[in-house]
Amino acid sequence: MQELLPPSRSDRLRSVGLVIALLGLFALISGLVDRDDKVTVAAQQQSAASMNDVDRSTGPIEGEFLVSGSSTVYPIVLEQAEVFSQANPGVAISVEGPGSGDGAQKFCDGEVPIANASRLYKAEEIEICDANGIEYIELRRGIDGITVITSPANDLVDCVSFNDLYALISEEASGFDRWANANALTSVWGGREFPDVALDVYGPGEESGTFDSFAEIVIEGVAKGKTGLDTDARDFVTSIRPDYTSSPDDNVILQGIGASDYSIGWVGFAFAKEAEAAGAAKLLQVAKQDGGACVSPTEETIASAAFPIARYLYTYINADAAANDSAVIAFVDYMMSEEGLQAVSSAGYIDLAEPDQRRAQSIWANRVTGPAWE
Amino acid sequence: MTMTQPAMTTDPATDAVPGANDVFTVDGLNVFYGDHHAVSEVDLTIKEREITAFIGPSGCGKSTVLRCFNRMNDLIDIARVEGTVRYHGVDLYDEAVDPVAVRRRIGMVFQKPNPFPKSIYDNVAYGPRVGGHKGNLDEIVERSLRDAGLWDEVKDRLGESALGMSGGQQQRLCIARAIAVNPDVLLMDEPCSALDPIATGVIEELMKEIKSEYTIIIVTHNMQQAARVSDRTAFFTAEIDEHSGQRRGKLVEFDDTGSIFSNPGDERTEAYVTGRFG
Amino acid sequence: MHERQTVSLDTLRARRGDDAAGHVFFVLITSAVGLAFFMVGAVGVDVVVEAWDILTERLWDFLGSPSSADEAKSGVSQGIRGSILIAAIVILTFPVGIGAAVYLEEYADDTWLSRLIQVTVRNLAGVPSIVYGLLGLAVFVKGLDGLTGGRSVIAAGLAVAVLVLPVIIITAGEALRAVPTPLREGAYGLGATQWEVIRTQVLPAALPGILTGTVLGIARALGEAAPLLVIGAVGFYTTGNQDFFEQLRGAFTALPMNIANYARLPAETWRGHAAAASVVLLILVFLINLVAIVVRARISKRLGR
Repeated sequence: MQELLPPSRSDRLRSVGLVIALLGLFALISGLVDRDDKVTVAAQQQSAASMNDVDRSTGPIEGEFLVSGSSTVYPIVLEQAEVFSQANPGVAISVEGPGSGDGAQKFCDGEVPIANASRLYKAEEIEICDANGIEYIELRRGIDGITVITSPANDLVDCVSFNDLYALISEEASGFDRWANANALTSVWGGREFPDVALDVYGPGEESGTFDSFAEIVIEGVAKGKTGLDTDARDFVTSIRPDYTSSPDDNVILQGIGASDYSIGWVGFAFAKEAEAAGAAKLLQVAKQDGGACVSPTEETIASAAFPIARYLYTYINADAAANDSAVIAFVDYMMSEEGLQAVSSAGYIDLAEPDQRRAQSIWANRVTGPAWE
Repeated sequence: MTMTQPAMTTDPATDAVPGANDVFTVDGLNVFYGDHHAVSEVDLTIKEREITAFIGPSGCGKSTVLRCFNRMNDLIDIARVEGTVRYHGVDLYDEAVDPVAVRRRIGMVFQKPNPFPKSIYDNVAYGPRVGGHKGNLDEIVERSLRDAGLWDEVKDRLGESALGMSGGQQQRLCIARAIAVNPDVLLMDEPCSALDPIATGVIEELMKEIKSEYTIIIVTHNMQQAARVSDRTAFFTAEIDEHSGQRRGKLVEFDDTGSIFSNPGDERTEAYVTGRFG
Repeated sequence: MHERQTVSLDTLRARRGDDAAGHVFFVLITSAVGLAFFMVGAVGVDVVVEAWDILTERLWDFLGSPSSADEAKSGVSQGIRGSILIAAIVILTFPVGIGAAVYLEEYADDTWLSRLIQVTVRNLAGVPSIVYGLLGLAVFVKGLDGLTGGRSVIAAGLAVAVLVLPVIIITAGEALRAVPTPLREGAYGLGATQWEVIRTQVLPAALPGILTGTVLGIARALGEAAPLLVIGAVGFYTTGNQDFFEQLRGAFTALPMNIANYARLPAETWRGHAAAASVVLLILVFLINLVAIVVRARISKRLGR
């Protein structure tokens, strides 16, 4: 009789065993995946070692740090961190790109030693750094053109001026759903006349450095009279219309641009160039002033500042870490080296002009703290 | 019968009163469900090794009274019991009494067969296991199944699920399960209401066989069943409370089964047993 | 006596338009089901088509490599690891949720306080996940950084576990409530204590329902991206000389973050990586659900249902 009876205790043991087995499986899988990481890194280590010019005379560097900040700069740092870590397997480095503002918050709270920004830190951000006793080294990294784009199907518009963009995208243009609506504004200063076709506006959201830069360079530029308009005779706004389609994801913006024939929008140059190559967007020429020279966005025109909407990319280094943290020092050394700087162009951005480049390297070499760039 | 449970010592004072073979003495029992006064002023005495039947129309409180004998009403939050229920002279509702110990002495079989979703063996072994029995369970299982007249039918499939048995077998398994803990009393709450006549007959025979060892109280809505199996019969009825309009159970008459059915002392009993009401 | 009924085939034949509303309703629900299948199918096909090149050309490399700036090398191994660890932490906290459900259903008296707790738990299940991210940031990243190591996979796992907890408590509570009263009474009637009844009857009978809740919980835990963003899942990390336990308290990422990061990169070619990572996440959720379904089926069978 005994063997006919499944004793319930062993059933219970079996269930417990099953749970333990499942947890073990998890541990095993994560262990395997984990080992794969190391194998990959180790395999690439040798080839990478020759590419790096970090001084390793003091023996293998160890440490751990996080690089935060601009999502625009993220691809540059990703490539640099990857190559750096292959040559320095003892350093645990992580990179994220939540945005310039989020990065500034973490940097000025002392949470991260390195933060990227697609603009200079604002006064209120600097105040937080000061209040927390965080000294920083401000490094210029590269240039990103902000490109005005439309659909490849749009054959009515090839070139826009800052004033045109103001008439289409500033807060005064709220509610405009046809290009011809903007004529009400351009006629004020005797600007161009737009055709009567549907107007769809796409751009990044407020959390983006690209949003800030576009508003600052174009809309504020017009409002401050930099394009020759009489700002005493009339009040100009400095903000962007609230009724456009915004997304934190540049690829979503590009999809919207391609989806409607007479769309207009703005994204970083790296994204626009990729989209143009894929036939998904048309890059508009831009003239700073009405009747001025129309300039196409290219690596050359952005680097030479002939293309009028460009911004510099920055990296902020915690001065304390720059003095004491060997891993951070080694990484920034690599970042600012000739080889590390190649990541700027391979990520789709434009290298600094030679004098700026040397100045940034010297600021790092001398650990100059505080605001360094205009 | 071995007494492995913490014993409820019999009070010598009550031992001296007449009727030492009284198992239960109920005195002024009232049961309330919240505001509802469900059973009012029940007095009765249950004798050892007899089958006592509770009969009466629906809602007359017979099941409620039955559930007072093993403190099953404790499981209902809003239930409240007043009066005394003495078990061998011990007040079951004394603060010191543990309902778990009560239920090991006073087993219960329910209206619908409710075998556990386990094997036949584990069903019967359940009571002894939770009771902390450490010895050989096989013996207890076999004896209980034999007592319940089920052994020959299931001895070759003790490891199979109890849920694969017929309704009548399931109910006999529940009886086997109840007697496996070696109780003193078996409470049966309409044990045959979900069974066909043949299975009912088997259970009734079983009750007569095991009454030499157990005191049995059975609630039934089937008068013939009460007449067939019981030694004594209690007839309950429901009165409508003139204030609240709620039904309130009341014990009408309690006597030898023969008297209740052939010579009832109360006209309500007579009306019920002759089928004129209920 | 009444007259003999005359019955012809016509009297029994369905009359036209008898059940017009029923037919309309049937068409409506059928098309609703069809639409749902079409949407899911379209999304699935779209993702698989985008992911096809990567899945066919370098599947194992993609699964086994960390993220990289090089399209040809970039993979999701760190995301898989993070997601599995998060799921494991969430599973480890399931007993807490099941225990809470047992307490609320079996032990707590029906007072205004226990009702308030029940209602609160139900409301918590509807709180947006970003709120749990903020809670996790305050409690697990900042408050308990001695335990979690700050912005770590432990902090993320605990935040997601808290997010999943109400779902577990609600489904486990419903499963416990569905255990038939006769089962409990049968056990009580044999002299079982409350704990014995819960342990030997109620929990085993409720287990299939509880497992259903855990399946939903794990699927939700694996798919959540918002709390991970707030906790600080990174795009890329290396582990240096950290051992396993140091890594648990170090930088981490998870599959939803991999997907988001790939989708944000400029080149069109990264779309395939995002799609392939989505497929990996879907398959991971599917596999874990499959395990739970198999376990559930085995338990149900053992209970003879």
